[in-house]
Amino acid sequence: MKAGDQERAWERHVVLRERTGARITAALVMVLFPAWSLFDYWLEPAYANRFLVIRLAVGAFAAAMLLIRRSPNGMMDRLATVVLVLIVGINIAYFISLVDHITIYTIGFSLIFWGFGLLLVWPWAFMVSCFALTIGIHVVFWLASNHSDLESFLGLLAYLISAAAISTGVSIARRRLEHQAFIASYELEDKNRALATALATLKAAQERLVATEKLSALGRLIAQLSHEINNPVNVLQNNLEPLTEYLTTIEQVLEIARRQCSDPSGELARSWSELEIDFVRTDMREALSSMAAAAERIRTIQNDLRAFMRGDAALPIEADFNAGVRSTVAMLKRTLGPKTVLFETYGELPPARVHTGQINQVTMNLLQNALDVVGASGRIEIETRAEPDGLVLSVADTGPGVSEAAKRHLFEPFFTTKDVGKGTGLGLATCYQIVRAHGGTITLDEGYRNGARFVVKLPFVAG
Amino acid sequence: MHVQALLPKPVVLIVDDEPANLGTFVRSFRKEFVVRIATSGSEALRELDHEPADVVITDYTMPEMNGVELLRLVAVRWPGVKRLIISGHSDLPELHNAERLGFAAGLLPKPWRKPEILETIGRLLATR
Repeated sequence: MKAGDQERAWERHVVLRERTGARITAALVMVLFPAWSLFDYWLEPAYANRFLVIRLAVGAFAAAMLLIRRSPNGMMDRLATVVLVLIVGINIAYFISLVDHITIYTIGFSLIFWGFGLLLVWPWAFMVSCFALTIGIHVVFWLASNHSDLESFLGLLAYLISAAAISTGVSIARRRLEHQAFIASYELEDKNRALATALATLKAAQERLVATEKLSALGRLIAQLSHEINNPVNVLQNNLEPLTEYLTTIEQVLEIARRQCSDPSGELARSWSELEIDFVRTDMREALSSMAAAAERIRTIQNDLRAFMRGDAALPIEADFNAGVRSTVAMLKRTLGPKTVLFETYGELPPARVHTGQINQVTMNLLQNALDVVGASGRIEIETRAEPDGLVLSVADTGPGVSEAAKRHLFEPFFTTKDVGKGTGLGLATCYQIVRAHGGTITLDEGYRNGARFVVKLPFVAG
Repeated sequence: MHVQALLPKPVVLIVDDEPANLGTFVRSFRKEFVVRIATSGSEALRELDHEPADVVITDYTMPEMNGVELLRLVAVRWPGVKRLIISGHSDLPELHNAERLGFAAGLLPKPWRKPEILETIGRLLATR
């Protein structure tokens, strides 16, 4: 946190603190100043009535102070307090010039100084000015009087100046202490905030680590599984074609047999109808073709899994990044919908060290997703450009965009929003793995509003 | 097609430790090739000793001797025999090295596709 912020926070704190001090001062004056009338009636009955009116007026001013609307910078509180102190000071000086019991009234006068020292945390200049004014009033009153009793006046003056000095000292020390305490607590709060941020970062890093661990464990499992499945899939898929041929051969023989035994009531014709041979022939072909489709589907899944596993395969080579993107785009262009337009923008890029096959896979997956979401009509924009710290590939579409719920799982393996049988949920997970292996990032552009835009960023010098 | 039919069928030796794969291969190509089988690298070498083939296609993952090791031996002893390797892990660096060094003329994915195998073998034999 910057020092300026700290100073501003301290000023805000001081304003609040002064406001509280001013209000307590006003409340005390409001109660104690009129209450002093009890002494007036006891010690100075001759002036008691006159004093009571003055004391009630001062109490009313203090009460009014409590009702003042709070000013944002605290100046109003300070000003009102100064006025209050002056009024009280003038009155007490006035009283002292009249009363016989000067000592007891002087003690009452000095209470103001002590109270200020304890209650207010004003800057010292304010304190000194305020006290100087009060003492000045006392001097003016003495000068205006008949100059009698010089010793008492000087003694009183010395007492008042000492009281003012001690009060100011106390106030300055308190202000300092409070400032130190404030800075300490502010810094502590600052450190707490930094700690909270560090904790959050740590937690995020830990989560990423766990996710990466999970992914690599999953990867090993997939690799094993994929290898185990290869052979049976090979047998299943590649036997279907010979089987279909065999079926054709048998059917041909069957047809010959049927032609040769044309007797409709013969055994062949009877069995033919009983065993529903016409249905069996059609159905068998349907069964074979659905098996072929299923085997093909397994093979596609296997391919996707294999691509997904291609995290740390052969060495990267220096390649023309744009050429790779161009060739991938050319391959997928054939599957464009009738009203889908594809915009390609290729920036000038320096050669990059990449696993070309893998990076093409990333382009392919992103583009395939874009093609899938825009459907028959839409707009896809593919762009490459160089930035100071790396090269960028972005693929944008005018599809429905990515829902908030999907965003959370976007790069997780087996997460898909496509219909059952359409996607394996490995496309973006594969992209993520490949890009990460290249030391790059892949993100969904949160600011893009026309659909979805994926941005791949690769450092120029990649492993 | 007629001219081709008159030519003797190419002899293909397929090597795989999985008998079901061998059976599948034989079944799929019995019209196009004379298919001979071996269930291990050493058996393949014995087969070739006994009678050479035009093409050897071997699985990569096999116990004892893997496909690359087998093809390396074949390349030394029968340099004229065309060599192909089949693997589910077509991105293994070892396979690419074998191809780069000339031990294998090509990599075939597993599960394989019949048209791809026909095309590859046709192309290889045309260069003889």
